[in-house]
Amino acid sequence: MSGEPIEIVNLRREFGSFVAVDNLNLEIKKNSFTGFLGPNGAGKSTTLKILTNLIHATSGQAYLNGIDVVSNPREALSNVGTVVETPEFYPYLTPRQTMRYVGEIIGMDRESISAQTEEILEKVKMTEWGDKKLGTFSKGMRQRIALGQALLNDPKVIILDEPTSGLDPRGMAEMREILKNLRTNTNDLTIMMSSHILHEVSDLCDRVAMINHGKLLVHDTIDMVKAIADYRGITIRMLEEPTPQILERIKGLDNVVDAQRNGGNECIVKIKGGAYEQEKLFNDISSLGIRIFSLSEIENSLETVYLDLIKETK
Amino acid sequence: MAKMDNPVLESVRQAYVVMKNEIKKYFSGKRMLLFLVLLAIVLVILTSAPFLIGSDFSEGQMLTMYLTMSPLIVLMAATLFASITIVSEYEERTALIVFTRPISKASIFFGKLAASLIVTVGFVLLYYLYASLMMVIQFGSVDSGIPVSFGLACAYAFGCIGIAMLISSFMKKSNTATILTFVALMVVISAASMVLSLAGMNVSWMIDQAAGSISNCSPGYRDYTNEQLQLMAQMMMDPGSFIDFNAYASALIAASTTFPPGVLASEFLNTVMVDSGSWTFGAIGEMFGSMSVSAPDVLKDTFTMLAWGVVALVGSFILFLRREF
Repeated sequence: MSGEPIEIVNLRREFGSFVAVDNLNLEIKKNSFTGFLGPNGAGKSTTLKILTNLIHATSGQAYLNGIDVVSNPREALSNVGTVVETPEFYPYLTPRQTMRYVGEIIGMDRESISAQTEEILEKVKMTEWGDKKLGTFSKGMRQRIALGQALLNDPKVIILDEPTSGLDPRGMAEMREILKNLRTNTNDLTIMMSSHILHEVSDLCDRVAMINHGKLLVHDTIDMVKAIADYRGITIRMLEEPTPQILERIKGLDNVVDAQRNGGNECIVKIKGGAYEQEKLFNDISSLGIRIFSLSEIENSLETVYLDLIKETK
Repeated sequence: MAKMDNPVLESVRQAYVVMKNEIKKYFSGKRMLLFLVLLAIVLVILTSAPFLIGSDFSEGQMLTMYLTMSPLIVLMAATLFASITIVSEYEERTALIVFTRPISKASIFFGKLAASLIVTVGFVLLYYLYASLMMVIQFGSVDSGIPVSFGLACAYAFGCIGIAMLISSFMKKSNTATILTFVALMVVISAASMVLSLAGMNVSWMIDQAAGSISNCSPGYRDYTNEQLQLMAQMMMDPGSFIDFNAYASALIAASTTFPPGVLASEFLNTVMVDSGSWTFGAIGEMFGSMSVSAPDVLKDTFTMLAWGVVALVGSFILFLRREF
């Protein structure tokens, strides 16, 4: 074992003839915030459900804090908080009663539960709703409580499965804000979060693991993963419409891999290289007599890498 | 209660936490309201009997009324509560909170079982206390068979809850599980008993037959049926002279469902009926299907009902362990 808080070894899960997780090996680094990416059906949720003891593995091991969750789920989950999909709560309980129920299951004493509950409600910005029945809450509020209950025993590992899924933009922003604060204000905390929203992963995570067809494609820091792309995307806005002739002339410039119109007076140019090549592109386009008023790098090159990797494994 | 070092005690502690929440869930749901309404209707009807029947109303009749309804109270409670106890966690997605916690599925299962038993037995106890109170008010005494009947009702509750939890452990929708439990307990098991009985098999091991002793076990209940049994004996001796079909039918049904064969044979029908364990009423019986009477051997019937519960709960537990979200 590697000693990392989350370690997956040769994990396999079959549903009949379909292999959802195919001998997956993955180690989530201590104190990292790792985004777990992959298209629908890639095996993300299956992996996280095995990690959280909601489904069984066909073979392999999944260790949480060094304890195999497949053979000893109770011990393995003792220092882990989870929010899987969109959980529901007992509608007759209030957030404080829910925290108490979860705290009692974990084995916390009453004083600790009370103290932690107040701190957590503050963290997830639900203090004023602490005594209202959960049955009346919106999805966003319930998701914040879901995150809150995951933090109750001050876990060293948090597993989140699409925590902002189904939330409205405000709900998403609030959840991200809470996660960001959590990351900033908590020492010794490892978070593994699956998501479909790449800019959310770019915004929150420092590492990323991508899987497809149940196999790991890449796992590294976000910067290293972005660097996998052998080109960068540049958005160029012109004063006139980029005609096919203009695009062909841009394609003929040094370091340019491709140039495509992106609607209106905008086109996306893929170039090899870094900042110098980008600066050269600006000059070269100007020298062609093409009047441009804006040139910007596509920030989320994670998306570029993601799409390329997924395409390769199709 | 804080965490315990001993894993067994810790499991028991967690089961207790689950049980408390489950009882709270029962009392917070609409099903409890439905159950209380149904129970109230039954009690109002039973309580009104002395006023409707008047001076002819006997202690035996009152006892019979209450004891006959007892298995139905058990069945209602098991159907409304135990049938949803597992399936609702999956259907309502609360499993995503509880099952991902450091708790064994055994603790969850036994916590839920304990909650179902406590709530069901609690209501059955209240029902028997109410019946006893009514008897004291009306006749100044309580039949000695009541505690035995209550014990048997508890065993029946265990059996019914086992069956309900078995159904709950593989169904996807709570409402379907409730309907299926009701149909299984009310129709399927009774139909199976009837068919097996028609096939000449001893059906005393069937839970519905064993549950008959909940009412049969009381001496007061037997006294009440004397009149009808005498009528039946008379008819059996000379079927051709018997013309009161309704009285005959009621006697036959009373005898077939309530009377211990030993008593019946020795007191009334020893010249007509021979079989010591199960009787078939010959040509007349064919009108009603083959009817048999199982002896209310309290210990055997208790064991039978408990055995049904144990077998069903083992099946339920295995299915629950294997069930995934």
